[in-house]
Amino acid sequence: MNILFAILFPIIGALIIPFTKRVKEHVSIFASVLSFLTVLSVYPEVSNNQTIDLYIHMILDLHIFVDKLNFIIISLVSFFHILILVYSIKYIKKDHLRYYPLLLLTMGFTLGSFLSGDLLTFYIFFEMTTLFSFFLIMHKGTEKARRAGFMYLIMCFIGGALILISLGSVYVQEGNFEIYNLTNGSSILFILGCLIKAGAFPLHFWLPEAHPIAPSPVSALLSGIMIKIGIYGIARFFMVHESIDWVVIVAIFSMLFGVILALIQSDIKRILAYHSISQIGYMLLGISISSVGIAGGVFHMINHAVFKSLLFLCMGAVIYSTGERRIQRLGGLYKKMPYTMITCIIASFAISEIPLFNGFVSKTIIFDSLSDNFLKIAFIFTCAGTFASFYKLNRYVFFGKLPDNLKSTKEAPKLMLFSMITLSIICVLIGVFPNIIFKNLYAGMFDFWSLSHLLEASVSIILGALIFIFGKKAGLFDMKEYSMDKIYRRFTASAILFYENINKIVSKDLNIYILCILLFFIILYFL
Amino acid sequence: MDIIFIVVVPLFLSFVVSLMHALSRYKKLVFFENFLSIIGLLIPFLILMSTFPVISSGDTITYNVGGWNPFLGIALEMDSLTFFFSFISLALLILIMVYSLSRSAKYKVLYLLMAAGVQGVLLTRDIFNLYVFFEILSVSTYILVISEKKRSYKASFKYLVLGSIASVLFLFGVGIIYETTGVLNIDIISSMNTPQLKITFLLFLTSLGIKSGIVPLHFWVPDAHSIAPPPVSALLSGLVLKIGIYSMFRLFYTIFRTNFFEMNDVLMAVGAITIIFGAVLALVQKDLKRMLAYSSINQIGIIFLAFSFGTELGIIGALYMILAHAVAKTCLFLCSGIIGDLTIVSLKSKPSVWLPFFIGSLSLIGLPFTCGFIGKYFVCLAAMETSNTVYAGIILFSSIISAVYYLRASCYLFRIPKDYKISYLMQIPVYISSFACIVLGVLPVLIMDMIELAAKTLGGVI
Repeated sequence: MNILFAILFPIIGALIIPFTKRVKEHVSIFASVLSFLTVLSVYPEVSNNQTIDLYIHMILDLHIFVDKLNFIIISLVSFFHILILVYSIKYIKKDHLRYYPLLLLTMGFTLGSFLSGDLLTFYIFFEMTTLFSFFLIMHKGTEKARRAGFMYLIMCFIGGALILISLGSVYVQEGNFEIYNLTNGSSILFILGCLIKAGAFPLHFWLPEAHPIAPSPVSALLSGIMIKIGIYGIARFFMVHESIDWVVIVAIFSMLFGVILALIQSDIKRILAYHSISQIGYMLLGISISSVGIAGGVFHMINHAVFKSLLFLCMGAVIYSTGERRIQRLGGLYKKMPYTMITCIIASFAISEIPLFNGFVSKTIIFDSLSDNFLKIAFIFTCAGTFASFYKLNRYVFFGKLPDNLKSTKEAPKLMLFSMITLSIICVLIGVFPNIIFKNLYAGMFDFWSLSHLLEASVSIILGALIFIFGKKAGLFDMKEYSMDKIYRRFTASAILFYENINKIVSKDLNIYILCILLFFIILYFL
Repeated sequence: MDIIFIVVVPLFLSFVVSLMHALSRYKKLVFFENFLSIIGLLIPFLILMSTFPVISSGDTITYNVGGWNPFLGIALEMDSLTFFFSFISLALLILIMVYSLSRSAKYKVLYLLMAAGVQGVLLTRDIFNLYVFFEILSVSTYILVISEKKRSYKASFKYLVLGSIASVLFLFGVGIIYETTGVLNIDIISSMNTPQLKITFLLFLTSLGIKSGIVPLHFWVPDAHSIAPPPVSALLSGLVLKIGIYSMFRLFYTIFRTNFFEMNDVLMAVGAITIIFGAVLALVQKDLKRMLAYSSINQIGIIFLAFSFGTELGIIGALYMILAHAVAKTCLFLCSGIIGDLTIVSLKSKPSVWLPFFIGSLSLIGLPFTCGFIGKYFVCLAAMETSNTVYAGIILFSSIISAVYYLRASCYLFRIPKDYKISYLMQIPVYISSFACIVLGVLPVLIMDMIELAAKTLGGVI
């Protein structure tokens, strides 16, 4: 079947939903399943290294493109959307009319941006995902959610604007939108635009605000899939370009910065959001180093999508059942929510590089492609920090003493557990048989289970345990909520104040108007 | 039928309608009034469409009034640029007329008069005649603006004074041109190929700048938009501002060609200032219609900037922007009319027109799949083609700001609708215009040929 229908089915579904009564969930799940099947149906065509190119003369000229790499990505993306829709049935209690169409639209456009074959198509879908995920972030409608949503919107639109300028300069020089035509100047703009969407270090400050405030399934989508659009763009860029040094530096800073900030958070969803920044660093590091690194980076992107969505869904289940978000107020839930605990521990193992889980396999590839010793140390330190942070998360949420007000907590509903368990099975499956995915990304073979890799993993685990013990002694985990967006907030507030002053100055006196007209005339005369 | 009927029919029917209103003291003739007002716009539209085969093959249709030689008399000419503007303006006039059928007879009379003025400005090739039609247009707009709120004389007085200044400056300019060249026909003057005096150019620039709301000549725009009834605001934004821009197209690329390209850089800077000023002030408005008015200033800035690049791509971008803005802004103003009055924060529990409002907003922000995107994209390309990447940055910056204020307004509209009774005559134009936003954004090919033809008419390349 035509791959275009993978994009169209969710969009059509979104258009149908407003006319349905009480079956909104069913319609949306049906649409996403159709989209998933459409994606699967092109497998015979791409399996033997062929690509599908599709040109649509609609808005200007769109180019849809499928090869093995993005086939893997889109099949997972569409599958995740099904799981997340299933999860949402119980989780989202109100405003279905708004939630499901927006989620489906986001799905369609996300698939589109992973399917795009040139810069213009990428840009178009990039902008649309920003727009609709913005409304999903603001789903709760509180003042805080609105502020985070607008911050997300502004940042991602700035990213889109940068990409538009870069593609415009390519078009003006070359007459097409191919990614290999990006020159030095325009490629900086393109990478910056993608980095904003990905939430890499100096441009990350919207991410820890926007991701936690969204409803948990949406957070899972944002962290699991939406930020990968930026990484995907950069990966496509580095497939046809030389590596660039400053991207490696950005990657290292994201890794370290994200993990250090995650360690001191106490809101369970903010912890995960900061880990997204850190994990984005891994992907960037892999992508910007070598060809096997690109395969590793993309592989990690897929794995991260699996375990980070799973983590967000688990934390969503915790919040759904308890209503609490601070680790200080949680604890001892292992008896009350055993399935949630097991899936959460599997995901934590995956993210903190325990062998036989999917995080390990992709991280070893990235680690293997590093040559510089400094990079290796930073890598191991980040792994250790990740382990410590997730040890902390599980320790405080599921173990320890059960607070009195949580005595009546129940396990999450079955539909939510279904999504979580499916994802955790994928975690283990990829962890044990990494070649299912990896053979599609990289032509060569890779030895995942060599002694040096296991050694590296165990070093980072021991180091992580030390960090946890040290951090607990030093009381680092009890800090108040830490937020980096103060600068942004102060900036916007002063800007608005400035504009309001201009608005006041624009006087209401007719004499001044006429004076302005005269001045305009005279100044232009002498220019 | 001759193209002069495009002007004559609405002019004539406006008097007929006023006469019928005088008679209707004795009989109820509202239905005929409505019928005639629609017919008065439909007939010109049909005549216009009948010229389409000729225009699309690249020819022009000329009509000399009274059979006089264009050197002495008045020449009307329909070329692709005129056709493009005439098409947009008549389509909008019909849509807005359908929306405002329930209004008084006085409104309809002035409306038809204004339509005649608009079509006259578009068709005529005689500068003095251009002035006359501009006056018909302006005078009827002055009254339309205050036709409902009686207490807003102060704001409309400002509009009147500034509009009159614009007219006087225009007349000065016409006088100087007649003094130096001895003719009034645009084509004849431009075929003389003599550069005009700089002061003449500036007189026209200032006059048309006031009419089209370029910063710092924009002061009447927010006031007039906010006091006018919503359909009239839609007309002001969608048509009246654009007619100023059209006259700039018509004059600056012909008579003032050399002056225009000499001052290119300055004009671009003026456009950029207009963009930023409009965007920034729209952000802090509390009143929905004032916000839309400042957004119009922003969009006019983009159009002005695009056409001062002077390249063909720039003109195509400007023309597409004009189309996109006219359609989307009409949609938004008509929505604001349905929503009612008017501060942004108090929109709760009003009737729901959020979907058209939302689509119109997307188009004005310039997001893909709406017609605003195509315009923005071409303008940015034109900026980069002439290596003015800074201006592309400014346009995109303004579109981010407009994303903030439009989506903020849309967010308040995302409420479950309460059942208000809105007449279908008011709803249909809103839905049609928002639908047009998407159709023109997804399939720009529909109109692209005509725009390219119009851009070639101007012969934009420096």
